[in-house]
Amino acid sequence: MATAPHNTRPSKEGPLRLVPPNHVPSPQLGRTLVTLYVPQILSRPGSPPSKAPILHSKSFDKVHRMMSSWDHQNLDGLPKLYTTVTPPPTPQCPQSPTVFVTHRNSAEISSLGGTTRLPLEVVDRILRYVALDQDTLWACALVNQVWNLAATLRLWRRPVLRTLSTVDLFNRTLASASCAIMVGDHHTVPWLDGRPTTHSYLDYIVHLDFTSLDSVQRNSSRLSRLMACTLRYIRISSLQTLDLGFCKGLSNYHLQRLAPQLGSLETLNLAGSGRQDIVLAKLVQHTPRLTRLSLAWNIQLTTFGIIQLAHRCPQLQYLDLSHCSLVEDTAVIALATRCRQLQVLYVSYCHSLTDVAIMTILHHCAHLRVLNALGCPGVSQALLDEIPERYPKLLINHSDSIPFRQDFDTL
Amino acid sequence: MDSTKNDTDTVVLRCYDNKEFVVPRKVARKSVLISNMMEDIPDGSGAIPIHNVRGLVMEKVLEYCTHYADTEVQEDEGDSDEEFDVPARTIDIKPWDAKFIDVDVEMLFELLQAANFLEIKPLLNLGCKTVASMLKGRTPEEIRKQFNIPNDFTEEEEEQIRKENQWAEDR
Repeated sequence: MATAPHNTRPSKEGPLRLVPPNHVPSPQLGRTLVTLYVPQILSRPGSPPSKAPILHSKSFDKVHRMMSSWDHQNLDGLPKLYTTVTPPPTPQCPQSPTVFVTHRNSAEISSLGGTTRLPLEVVDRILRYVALDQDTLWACALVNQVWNLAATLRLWRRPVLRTLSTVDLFNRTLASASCAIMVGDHHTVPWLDGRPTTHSYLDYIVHLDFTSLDSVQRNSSRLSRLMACTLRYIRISSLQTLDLGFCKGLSNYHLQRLAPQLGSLETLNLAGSGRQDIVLAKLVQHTPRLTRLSLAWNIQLTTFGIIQLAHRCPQLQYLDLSHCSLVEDTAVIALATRCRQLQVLYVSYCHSLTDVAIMTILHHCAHLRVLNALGCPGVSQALLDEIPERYPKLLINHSDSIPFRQDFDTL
Repeated sequence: MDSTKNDTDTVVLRCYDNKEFVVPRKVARKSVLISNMMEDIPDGSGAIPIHNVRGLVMEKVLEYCTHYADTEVQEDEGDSDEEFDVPARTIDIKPWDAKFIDVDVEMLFELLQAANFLEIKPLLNLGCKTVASMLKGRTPEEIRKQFNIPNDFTEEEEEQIRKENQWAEDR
């Protein structure tokens, strides 16, 4: 049958093997079916997506929301992208069964030569499985318009900056995207050869990781200036994760000044970066949502800084204080009483801690599941031996402690 | 409708090219879309029209649904619908699945679209994983060639996207 699909619902033909002999499906029923199901199959181009529902598709809605968040930016790009994902109004059923009508119009069919196009939602789903592979995402962003949209959202979501010069390049694109927004008319904004940016990149960045820089670059004082530049452009409301592990190049002074930009942070790694009480105290004033924090190897941190943290960040679930040897019992008691959500606490090699700290934590934090207190001379072996009996579910001093990075997504 | 009562029963699916399949209900129910249709359409009102899946693809889809008719497919990392941001670290494809999905690119893409349209999430995930595993280490040109995707960028557009993402290039 070569008629258009919207009137192909047969009421008198087709196999009626399951139909009782006395039951004849009414034409009315047939018509109802068509109006019910055709919109799911054939949405119309040119009409706004809300009027052309592609039902049962959560992920599409999600991408949709993302796209609508930058449509003020990309008025040219949008209609074009929509036509690639929405099918034609009344596709003619061609005789050849190999052609997939609903996703292309006839002009496209001839130009594609039989290729099946994947809709945006499916491309996005594919890219979930390469979301941590920056090189692959980069390649996907250059495949075509639809792949570009899906890949760019993921590529810019957790950019991995490998050298200081890539940080610089990254900042340049951000600067250009930010100009485009500030001027309000992106056509007037020069970008190298006078073109606007294709995406509103500023909104995409959720995770920022500077730990892929090599040790020389992590300690380079250029990092302060470059990071200040990066964070100035990023949307405060979107940045959730910042990994500054062993980045001594970012000075305490600069980090302190950047603190107001970090209001939405949930995960922060400051391990081994030479942080002091004063910068921690200033920082936590701006990060009430912090749930995961690593302060390991910051040997200058003292009880004062940790008490500030306990007061300002009551939602902490993961805290690494390993090798913060100046931290005393008072600090841990403050954490125990203020941060009741704690699940993971590392206090190994905090030389000043005693049994009091450990017992207070165990008493107050009912959710605690991992506690590492190796190399604390003040903590008695008798107490450590007793813990597994009294708290059978708690992992204590387990040998391979979870590295901060890996715990990001599993906690 | 009582969903358990009719599990031994069958349902007729009519594809885009008028090919028809008589399918046990429990197999058809693997597709959320068909399952919903079976709820809404009274018993015995004829074939269920599946307008944008052709017979050859439907056959393959039904092979999958039949294989998993009695088992729930376990979700892997990255399969979740809920979070945009649950990245998968590894791509794990089971032996039967790997053999099943070993088809040409055209068929693979049509399967993806069919699984997406019919809402068979495990099959959709399987197809997506398969495509994803074929992307690794490829250049944009290689991806286009491999999957027969036309380049719809103008030269300027492409150059600009390269510029804007230059930081991500592994050089």
